[in-house]
Amino acid sequence: MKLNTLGVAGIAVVMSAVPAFAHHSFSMFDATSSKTVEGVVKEFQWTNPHSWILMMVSNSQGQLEQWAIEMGGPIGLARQGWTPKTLKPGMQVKTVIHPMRDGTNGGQFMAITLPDGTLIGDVNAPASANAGGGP
Amino acid sequence: MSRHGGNFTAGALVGAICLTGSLSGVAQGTAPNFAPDRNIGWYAYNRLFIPPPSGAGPVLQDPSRPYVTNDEFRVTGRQPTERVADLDNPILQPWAKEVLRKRNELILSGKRAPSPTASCWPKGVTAFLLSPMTQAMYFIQGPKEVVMILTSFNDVRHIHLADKHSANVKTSWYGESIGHYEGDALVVDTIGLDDRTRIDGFGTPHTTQLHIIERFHLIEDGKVLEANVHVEDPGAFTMPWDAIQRFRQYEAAVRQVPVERLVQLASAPEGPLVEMNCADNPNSFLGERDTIPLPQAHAPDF
Repeated sequence: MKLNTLGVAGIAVVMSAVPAFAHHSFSMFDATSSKTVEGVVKEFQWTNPHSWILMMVSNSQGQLEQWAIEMGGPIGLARQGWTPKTLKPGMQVKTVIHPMRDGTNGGQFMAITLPDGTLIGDVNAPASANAGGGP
Repeated sequence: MSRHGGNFTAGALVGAICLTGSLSGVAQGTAPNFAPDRNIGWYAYNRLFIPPPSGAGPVLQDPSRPYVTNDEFRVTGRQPTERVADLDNPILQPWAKEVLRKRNELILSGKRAPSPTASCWPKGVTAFLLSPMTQAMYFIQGPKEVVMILTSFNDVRHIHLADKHSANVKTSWYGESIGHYEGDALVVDTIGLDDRTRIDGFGTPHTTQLHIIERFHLIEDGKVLEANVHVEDPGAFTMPWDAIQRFRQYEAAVRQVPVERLVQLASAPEGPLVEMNCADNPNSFLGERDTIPLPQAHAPDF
Protein backbone atom coordinates (compact mmCIF):
# COMPACT_ATOMS: atom_id res chain seq x y z
CA MET A 1 0.00 0.00 0.00
CA LYS A 2 1.24 3.45 -0.78
CA LEU A 3 -1.08 5.78 0.95
CA ASN A 4 0.73 8.39 2.91
CA THR A 5 -0.90 11.13 4.83
CA LEU A 6 1.07 14.24 4.01
CA GLY A 7 -0.28 16.38 6.75
CA VAL A 8 -3.04 18.59 7.89
CA ALA A 9 -3.84 22.28 8.04
CA GLY A 10 -5.58 24.45 5.55
CA ILE A 11 -2.32 25.91 4.32
CA ALA A 12 -2.02 22.93 2.04
CA VAL A 13 -4.83 24.23 -0.15
CA VAL A 14 -3.83 24.76 -3.76
CA MET A 15 -6.13 27.31 -5.29
CA SER A 16 -5.06 26.65 -8.85
CA ALA A 17 -6.20 23.08 -8.48
CA VAL A 18 -9.64 23.78 -7.19
CA PRO A 19 -12.28 22.43 -9.56
CA ALA A 20 -13.57 25.09 -11.86
CA PHE A 21 -17.19 24.18 -12.19
CA ALA A 22 -18.31 23.31 -8.76
CA HIS A 23 -21.91 22.35 -9.20
CA HIS A 24 -21.88 20.78 -5.79
CA SER A 25 -20.56 21.76 -2.42
CA PHE A 26 -16.94 20.93 -1.65
CA SER A 27 -18.01 20.10 1.89
CA MET A 28 -17.63 16.42 1.06
CA PHE A 29 -13.86 16.93 0.85
CA ASP A 30 -11.67 17.46 3.90
CA ALA A 31 -10.06 20.81 3.15
CA THR A 32 -7.96 20.58 6.29
CA SER A 33 -5.96 17.56 5.24
CA SER A 34 -4.17 16.18 2.26
CA LYS A 35 -3.36 12.65 1.24
CA THR A 36 -0.96 11.19 -1.28
CA VAL A 37 -2.30 8.37 -3.41
CA GLU A 38 0.03 6.34 -5.62
CA GLY A 39 -1.26 4.07 -8.29
CA VAL A 40 -1.86 3.42 -11.94
CA VAL A 41 -4.08 5.56 -14.13
CA LYS A 42 -7.09 3.57 -15.26
CA GLU A 43 -8.84 6.39 -17.11
CA PHE A 44 -8.64 10.15 -17.53
CA GLN A 45 -12.02 11.69 -18.28
CA TRP A 46 -11.57 15.12 -19.90
CA THR A 47 -15.14 16.28 -19.39
CA ASN A 48 -17.42 19.00 -18.09
CA PRO A 49 -18.42 19.85 -15.50
CA HIS A 50 -15.66 17.84 -13.86
CA SER A 51 -12.73 15.95 -15.21
CA TRP A 52 -11.82 12.77 -13.40
CA ILE A 53 -8.73 10.69 -12.78
CA LEU A 54 -9.63 7.09 -12.10
CA MET A 55 -6.73 5.24 -10.52
CA MET A 56 -6.14 1.69 -9.36
CA VAL A 57 -4.46 1.68 -5.98
CA SER A 58 -3.31 -1.23 -3.82
CA ASN A 59 -4.99 -1.44 -0.43
CA SER A 60 -3.47 -2.78 2.78
CA GLN A 61 -4.29 -6.34 1.70
CA GLY A 62 -2.59 -5.87 -1.62
CA GLN A 63 -5.86 -5.77 -3.50
CA LEU A 64 -6.44 -3.16 -6.17
CA GLU A 65 -9.15 -0.60 -5.49
CA GLN A 66 -10.40 2.21 -7.67
CA TRP A 67 -9.86 5.77 -6.48
CA ALA A 68 -11.68 8.68 -8.12
CA ILE A 69 -10.06 12.10 -8.15
CA GLU A 70 -12.35 14.97 -9.02
CA MET A 71 -10.88 17.87 -10.98
CA GLY A 72 -12.06 21.04 -12.64
CA GLY A 73 -13.50 21.24 -16.11
CA PRO A 74 -11.35 21.25 -19.26
CA ILE A 75 -11.23 25.04 -19.57
CA GLY A 76 -9.58 25.58 -16.24
CA LEU A 77 -7.30 22.60 -16.70
CA ALA A 78 -6.21 23.78 -20.12
CA ARG A 79 -5.23 27.13 -18.62
CA GLN A 80 -2.99 25.20 -16.26
CA GLY A 81 -1.32 23.38 -19.13
CA TRP A 82 -3.28 20.17 -19.08
CA THR A 83 -4.32 18.42 -22.25
CA PRO A 84 -6.61 15.43 -22.75
CA LYS A 85 -3.47 13.33 -23.17
CA THR A 86 -1.57 14.50 -20.11
CA LEU A 87 -2.59 11.25 -18.46
CA LYS A 88 -2.84 7.93 -20.21
CA PRO A 89 -3.99 4.55 -18.94
CA GLY A 90 -1.16 2.61 -17.37
CA MET A 91 0.81 5.62 -16.14
CA GLN A 92 2.21 5.28 -12.63
CA VAL A 93 1.37 8.52 -10.86
CA LYS A 94 1.30 10.07 -7.43
CA THR A 95 -1.59 12.38 -6.69
CA VAL A 96 -2.22 14.64 -3.75
CA ILE A 97 -5.84 15.17 -2.80
CA HIS A 98 -8.17 16.56 -0.23
CA PRO A 99 -9.66 13.20 0.77
CA MET A 100 -13.33 12.41 1.10
CA ARG A 101 -14.56 13.06 4.62
CA ASP A 102 -16.66 9.90 4.63
CA GLY A 103 -13.73 7.65 3.76
CA THR A 104 -14.80 6.91 0.21
CA ASN A 105 -11.86 6.15 -2.08
CA GLY A 106 -11.49 9.52 -3.70
CA GLY A 107 -11.05 13.20 -3.23
CA GLN A 108 -10.45 16.62 -4.67
CA PHE A 109 -7.40 17.06 -6.88
CA MET A 110 -4.51 19.15 -5.58
CA ALA A 111 -1.38 18.01 -7.43
CA ILE A 112 0.07 15.14 -9.38
CA THR A 113 3.54 13.80 -10.12
CA LEU A 114 3.88 12.22 -13.55
CA PRO A 115 6.14 9.23 -14.34
CA ASP A 116 8.91 11.54 -15.59
CA GLY A 117 8.87 13.47 -12.32
CA THR A 118 6.92 16.44 -13.60
CA LEU A 119 4.84 17.98 -10.84
CA ILE A 120 1.59 19.70 -11.78
CA GLY A 121 0.17 21.76 -8.95
CA ASP A 122 1.78 23.05 -5.78
CA VAL A 123 0.80 21.45 -2.50
CA ASN A 124 2.65 24.11 -0.53
CA ALA A 125 0.83 27.11 -1.95
CA PRO A 126 -0.61 29.09 0.93
CA ALA A 127 -4.27 29.89 1.16
CA SER A 128 -5.02 33.44 0.23
CA ALA A 129 -5.89 35.83 3.03
CA ASN A 130 -7.89 38.03 0.68
CA ALA A 131 -11.50 38.83 1.32
CA GLY A 132 -14.06 36.30 0.21
CA GLY A 133 -16.51 36.57 -2.61
CA GLY A 134 -19.46 37.56 -0.47
CA PRO A 135 -20.65 41.09 0.10
CA MET B 1 -47.03 21.63 -20.81
CA SER B 2 -43.72 22.51 -22.29
CA ARG B 3 -40.80 21.11 -20.38
CA HIS B 4 -37.46 21.93 -21.86
CA GLY B 5 -35.17 18.98 -21.37
CA GLY B 6 -31.45 19.54 -21.04
CA ASN B 7 -29.76 22.87 -21.44
CA PHE B 8 -30.12 25.50 -24.04
CA THR B 9 -26.60 26.20 -25.14
CA ALA B 10 -27.02 25.81 -28.84
CA GLY B 11 -30.22 27.78 -29.05
CA ALA B 12 -28.81 30.46 -26.81
CA LEU B 13 -25.75 30.96 -28.89
CA VAL B 14 -27.72 31.09 -32.10
CA GLY B 15 -30.02 33.59 -30.48
CA ALA B 16 -27.09 35.60 -29.25
CA ILE B 17 -25.61 35.80 -32.70
CA CYS B 18 -28.93 36.90 -34.16
CA LEU B 19 -29.32 39.61 -31.55
CA THR B 20 -25.83 40.95 -31.92
CA GLY B 21 -26.79 42.61 -35.15
CA SER B 22 -29.46 44.58 -33.35
CA LEU B 23 -27.35 45.99 -30.58
CA SER B 24 -27.30 49.47 -32.06
CA GLY B 25 -30.88 49.82 -30.95
CA VAL B 26 -30.07 49.04 -27.36
CA ALA B 27 -30.13 51.37 -24.43
CA GLN B 28 -31.61 54.45 -25.99
CA GLY B 29 -32.04 57.39 -23.68
CA THR B 30 -31.51 56.53 -20.06
CA ALA B 31 -32.03 52.81 -20.46
CA PRO B 32 -29.17 50.93 -18.87
CA ASN B 33 -26.62 49.15 -20.99
CA PHE B 34 -25.53 46.00 -19.19
CA ALA B 35 -23.24 44.92 -22.00
CA PRO B 36 -21.25 47.87 -23.36
CA ASP B 37 -19.01 45.32 -25.04
CA ARG B 38 -19.17 41.60 -25.52
CA ASN B 39 -16.67 40.85 -22.79
CA ILE B 40 -18.67 42.40 -19.99
CA GLY B 41 -19.83 39.65 -17.69
CA TRP B 42 -21.31 39.95 -14.23
CA TYR B 43 -20.07 37.90 -11.30
CA ALA B 44 -22.39 37.32 -8.36
CA TYR B 45 -21.39 38.60 -4.94
CA ASN B 46 -22.62 35.53 -3.15
CA ARG B 47 -24.69 32.37 -3.43
CA LEU B 48 -27.26 33.64 -0.97
CA PHE B 49 -29.69 36.48 -1.51
CA ILE B 50 -29.09 39.68 0.39
CA PRO B 51 -32.10 40.52 2.58
CA PRO B 52 -33.89 43.82 2.01
CA PRO B 53 -33.31 46.71 4.45
CA SER B 54 -36.73 46.02 5.94
CA GLY B 55 -39.69 43.72 5.48
CA ALA B 56 -39.99 40.07 4.61
CA GLY B 57 -36.89 38.57 3.09
CA PRO B 58 -35.46 35.39 1.60
CA VAL B 59 -34.58 32.17 3.36
CA LEU B 60 -31.10 32.56 4.80
CA GLN B 61 -28.53 30.37 6.49
CA ASP B 62 -29.23 29.11 9.99
CA PRO B 63 -27.15 31.62 11.97
CA SER B 64 -25.93 28.89 14.30
CA ARG B 65 -24.32 27.02 11.41
CA PRO B 66 -22.04 29.28 9.36
CA TYR B 67 -22.06 28.68 5.64
CA VAL B 68 -18.66 28.49 3.96
CA THR B 69 -19.13 28.52 0.22
CA ASN B 70 -16.87 26.94 -2.34
CA ASP B 71 -15.92 30.47 -3.32
CA GLU B 72 -14.80 31.29 0.19
CA PHE B 73 -12.84 28.06 0.29
CA ARG B 74 -11.11 29.06 -2.92
CA VAL B 75 -10.05 32.33 -1.37
CA THR B 76 -9.36 31.42 2.25
CA GLY B 77 -8.91 27.67 2.34
CA ARG B 78 -11.60 27.30 5.01
CA GLN B 79 -13.47 24.01 5.12
CA PRO B 80 -16.61 24.39 2.98
CA THR B 81 -19.92 23.69 4.66
CA GLU B 82 -23.43 23.02 3.40
CA ARG B 83 -26.35 25.37 3.35
CA VAL B 84 -28.66 24.84 6.32
CA ALA B 85 -31.86 26.85 6.07
CA ASP B 86 -33.12 29.09 8.85
CA LEU B 87 -36.56 27.59 9.43
CA ASP B 88 -37.72 30.54 11.50
CA ASN B 89 -38.34 32.65 8.41
CA PRO B 90 -42.05 33.58 8.55
CA ILE B 91 -42.46 33.60 4.76
CA LEU B 92 -42.64 29.79 4.66
CA GLN B 93 -45.92 27.95 4.52
CA PRO B 94 -45.89 24.77 6.63
CA TRP B 95 -45.36 22.42 3.68
CA ALA B 96 -42.51 24.51 2.33
CA LYS B 97 -40.94 24.67 5.77
CA GLU B 98 -41.21 20.88 6.01
CA VAL B 99 -39.34 20.50 2.71
CA LEU B 100 -36.51 22.59 4.10
CA ARG B 101 -36.60 20.82 7.47
CA LYS B 102 -36.12 17.46 5.78
CA ARG B 103 -33.18 18.74 3.77
CA ASN B 104 -31.65 20.28 6.88
CA GLU B 105 -32.07 16.96 8.67
CA LEU B 106 -30.28 15.13 5.87
CA ILE B 107 -27.40 17.58 5.90
CA LEU B 108 -27.07 17.58 9.67
CA SER B 109 -26.99 13.77 9.70
CA GLY B 110 -23.85 13.98 7.61
CA LYS B 111 -25.41 12.94 4.32
CA ARG B 112 -25.35 14.77 1.03
CA ALA B 113 -28.58 16.33 -0.13
CA PRO B 114 -29.52 15.61 -3.75
CA SER B 115 -29.01 18.68 -5.87
CA PRO B 116 -31.09 19.33 -8.99
CA THR B 117 -28.28 21.49 -10.34
CA ALA B 118 -25.82 18.64 -9.95
CA SER B 119 -28.17 16.59 -12.10
CA CYS B 120 -28.19 19.25 -14.81
CA TRP B 121 -31.63 20.65 -14.10
CA PRO B 122 -32.11 24.25 -15.22
CA LYS B 123 -31.90 26.61 -12.29
CA GLY B 124 -35.07 28.63 -12.67
CA VAL B 125 -35.38 32.38 -12.47
CA THR B 126 -34.36 33.13 -8.89
CA ALA B 127 -31.60 30.56 -8.51
CA PHE B 128 -30.21 31.86 -11.81
CA LEU B 129 -29.07 34.88 -9.82
CA LEU B 130 -27.21 32.83 -7.22
CA SER B 131 -24.46 31.17 -9.20
CA PRO B 132 -20.86 31.12 -8.06
CA MET B 133 -18.52 34.08 -8.29
CA THR B 134 -16.55 32.16 -10.90
CA GLN B 135 -19.36 31.89 -13.42
CA ALA B 136 -20.34 35.10 -15.10
CA MET B 137 -23.76 36.19 -16.32
CA TYR B 138 -23.96 37.95 -19.68
CA PHE B 139 -26.58 40.23 -21.17
CA ILE B 140 -27.51 40.69 -24.79
CA GLN B 141 -29.91 43.59 -25.17
CA GLY B 142 -31.90 43.79 -28.35
CA PRO B 143 -34.85 45.96 -29.35
CA LYS B 144 -37.38 43.19 -28.79
CA GLU B 145 -35.67 40.87 -26.41
CA VAL B 146 -33.07 40.74 -23.67
CA VAL B 147 -31.17 37.50 -23.32
CA MET B 148 -29.37 36.54 -20.14
CA ILE B 149 -26.81 33.78 -20.36
CA LEU B 150 -25.14 32.14 -17.42
CA THR B 151 -21.73 30.56 -17.85
CA SER B 152 -22.79 27.92 -15.40
CA PHE B 153 -24.20 25.18 -17.64
CA ASN B 154 -25.05 27.89 -20.19
CA ASP B 155 -28.53 28.40 -18.78
CA VAL B 156 -30.43 31.04 -20.72
CA ARG B 157 -33.29 33.39 -19.94
CA HIS B 158 -35.30 35.18 -22.62
CA ILE B 159 -36.99 38.44 -21.65
CA HIS B 160 -39.47 39.68 -24.19
CA LEU B 161 -39.79 43.45 -24.25
CA ALA B 162 -43.57 43.49 -24.18
CA ASP B 163 -46.24 44.93 -21.91
CA LYS B 164 -48.49 41.88 -21.58
CA HIS B 165 -48.04 38.23 -20.85
CA SER B 166 -49.41 35.67 -23.28
CA ALA B 167 -53.05 34.73 -22.84
CA ASN B 168 -52.23 31.15 -21.93
CA VAL B 169 -48.78 30.82 -20.45
CA LYS B 170 -47.47 27.29 -20.38
CA THR B 171 -45.15 26.41 -17.57
CA SER B 172 -41.49 25.89 -18.37
CA TRP B 173 -38.13 25.92 -16.61
CA TYR B 174 -37.78 29.68 -17.07
CA GLY B 175 -41.42 30.59 -17.49
CA GLU B 176 -42.47 33.60 -19.51
CA SER B 177 -40.58 36.80 -18.82
CA ILE B 178 -41.68 40.15 -20.14
CA GLY B 179 -39.73 43.30 -19.56
CA HIS B 180 -39.48 47.02 -20.11
CA TYR B 181 -37.05 49.80 -19.33
CA GLU B 182 -38.16 52.08 -16.54
CA GLY B 183 -35.77 54.95 -16.00
CA ASP B 184 -32.38 53.42 -15.30
CA ALA B 185 -33.77 49.94 -14.70
CA LEU B 186 -34.77 46.90 -16.66
CA VAL B 187 -37.95 45.59 -15.05
CA VAL B 188 -38.72 41.93 -15.64
CA ASP B 189 -41.99 40.21 -14.81
CA THR B 190 -42.01 36.41 -14.86
CA ILE B 191 -44.78 33.84 -14.48
CA GLY B 192 -45.36 30.29 -15.69
CA LEU B 193 -42.51 28.67 -13.83
CA ASP B 194 -42.16 24.93 -13.59
CA ASP B 195 -42.46 23.92 -9.96
CA ARG B 196 -39.53 21.53 -10.26
CA THR B 197 -37.07 24.37 -9.96
CA ARG B 198 -35.99 25.74 -6.59
CA ILE B 199 -35.90 29.29 -5.28
CA ASP B 200 -32.37 28.98 -3.93
CA GLY B 201 -29.62 26.64 -2.86
CA PHE B 202 -31.48 25.71 0.29
CA GLY B 203 -33.99 23.97 -1.91
CA THR B 204 -36.80 26.36 -1.05
CA PRO B 205 -39.75 25.08 -3.09
CA HIS B 206 -42.36 27.03 -5.00
CA THR B 207 -45.51 26.32 -6.96
CA THR B 208 -46.56 27.25 -10.48
CA GLN B 209 -48.17 30.35 -8.95
CA LEU B 210 -44.74 31.85 -8.49
CA HIS B 211 -44.60 35.44 -9.73
CA ILE B 212 -41.30 37.31 -9.77
CA ILE B 213 -40.56 40.94 -10.53
CA GLU B 214 -36.93 41.90 -10.93
CA ARG B 215 -35.38 45.34 -11.32
CA PHE B 216 -31.89 45.27 -12.78
CA HIS B 217 -29.96 48.51 -12.53
CA LEU B 218 -26.38 49.73 -12.33
CA ILE B 219 -24.94 51.31 -9.20
CA GLU B 220 -21.52 52.57 -8.14
CA ASP B 221 -20.83 54.33 -11.44
CA GLY B 222 -21.82 51.30 -13.44
CA LYS B 223 -19.35 48.98 -11.75
CA VAL B 224 -21.99 47.01 -9.88
CA LEU B 225 -25.21 45.48 -11.18
CA GLU B 226 -27.98 45.21 -8.63
CA ALA B 227 -31.05 43.04 -8.93
CA ASN B 228 -33.97 43.86 -6.67
CA VAL B 229 -36.19 40.81 -6.58
CA HIS B 230 -39.83 40.73 -5.50
CA VAL B 231 -41.37 37.31 -5.01
CA GLU B 232 -44.98 36.24 -4.60
CA ASP B 233 -46.34 32.71 -4.45
CA PRO B 234 -49.56 32.18 -2.51
CA GLY B 235 -49.03 28.45 -2.89
CA ALA B 236 -45.72 28.35 -1.02
CA PHE B 237 -45.24 31.58 0.91
CA THR B 238 -47.31 33.30 3.55
CA MET B 239 -46.50 36.74 2.20
CA PRO B 240 -44.65 38.50 -0.61
CA TRP B 241 -40.97 38.97 0.09
CA ASP B 242 -38.02 40.80 -1.37
CA ALA B 243 -34.36 40.07 -1.93
CA ILE B 244 -31.27 41.64 -3.44
CA GLN B 245 -28.37 40.27 -5.43
CA ARG B 246 -25.35 42.22 -6.66
CA PHE B 247 -22.83 41.43 -9.36
CA ARG B 248 -19.33 42.70 -10.08
CA GLN B 249 -17.57 43.05 -13.39
CA TYR B 250 -14.51 40.94 -14.07
CA GLU B 251 -11.89 43.39 -12.80
CA ALA B 252 -13.69 43.77 -9.49
CA ALA B 253 -14.24 40.04 -9.20
CA VAL B 254 -10.57 39.17 -9.63
CA ARG B 255 -9.68 41.70 -6.98
CA GLN B 256 -11.38 39.36 -4.54
CA VAL B 257 -8.83 36.66 -5.15
CA PRO B 258 -5.48 36.45 -6.95
CA VAL B 259 -6.52 35.32 -10.40
CA GLU B 260 -3.54 33.01 -10.72
CA ARG B 261 -5.13 30.97 -7.96
CA LEU B 262 -8.51 31.00 -9.58
CA VAL B 263 -7.78 30.08 -13.14
CA GLN B 264 -11.35 29.21 -13.84
CA LEU B 265 -12.44 32.81 -13.55
CA ALA B 266 -13.23 33.64 -17.15
CA SER B 267 -10.97 36.44 -18.28
CA ALA B 268 -11.88 39.07 -20.79
CA PRO B 269 -9.41 37.95 -23.47
CA GLU B 270 -10.89 34.48 -23.32
CA GLY B 271 -14.47 35.63 -23.00
CA PRO B 272 -17.17 36.32 -23.44
CA LEU B 273 -18.65 32.91 -22.87
CA VAL B 274 -17.09 29.55 -22.30
CA GLU B 275 -18.73 26.25 -23.06
CA MET B 276 -19.93 24.40 -20.02
CA ASN B 277 -22.24 21.54 -20.76
CA CYS B 278 -23.37 19.84 -17.59
CA ALA B 279 -24.65 16.73 -19.32
CA ASP B 280 -21.22 16.10 -20.85
CA ASN B 281 -20.41 13.99 -17.80
CA PRO B 282 -22.84 14.24 -14.92
CA ASN B 283 -21.53 11.04 -13.40
CA SER B 284 -20.18 10.96 -9.91
CA PHE B 285 -17.64 8.45 -8.72
CA LEU B 286 -17.91 9.57 -5.13
CA GLY B 287 -21.01 8.03 -3.71
CA GLU B 288 -24.71 8.62 -3.74
CA ARG B 289 -24.70 12.23 -4.82
CA ASP B 290 -26.58 12.13 -8.08
CA THR B 291 -29.83 10.64 -6.99
CA ILE B 292 -32.02 12.94 -9.07
CA PRO B 293 -32.34 11.76 -12.67
CA LEU B 294 -31.30 13.99 -15.52
CA PRO B 295 -34.21 15.84 -17.11
CA GLN B 296 -35.28 14.35 -20.39
CA ALA B 297 -37.72 15.57 -23.00
CA HIS B 298 -39.90 12.95 -24.62
CA ALA B 299 -40.99 15.30 -27.36
CA PRO B 300 -39.40 18.31 -28.98
CA ASP B 301 -40.63 21.78 -28.04
CA PHE B 302 -40.97 22.84 -31.66
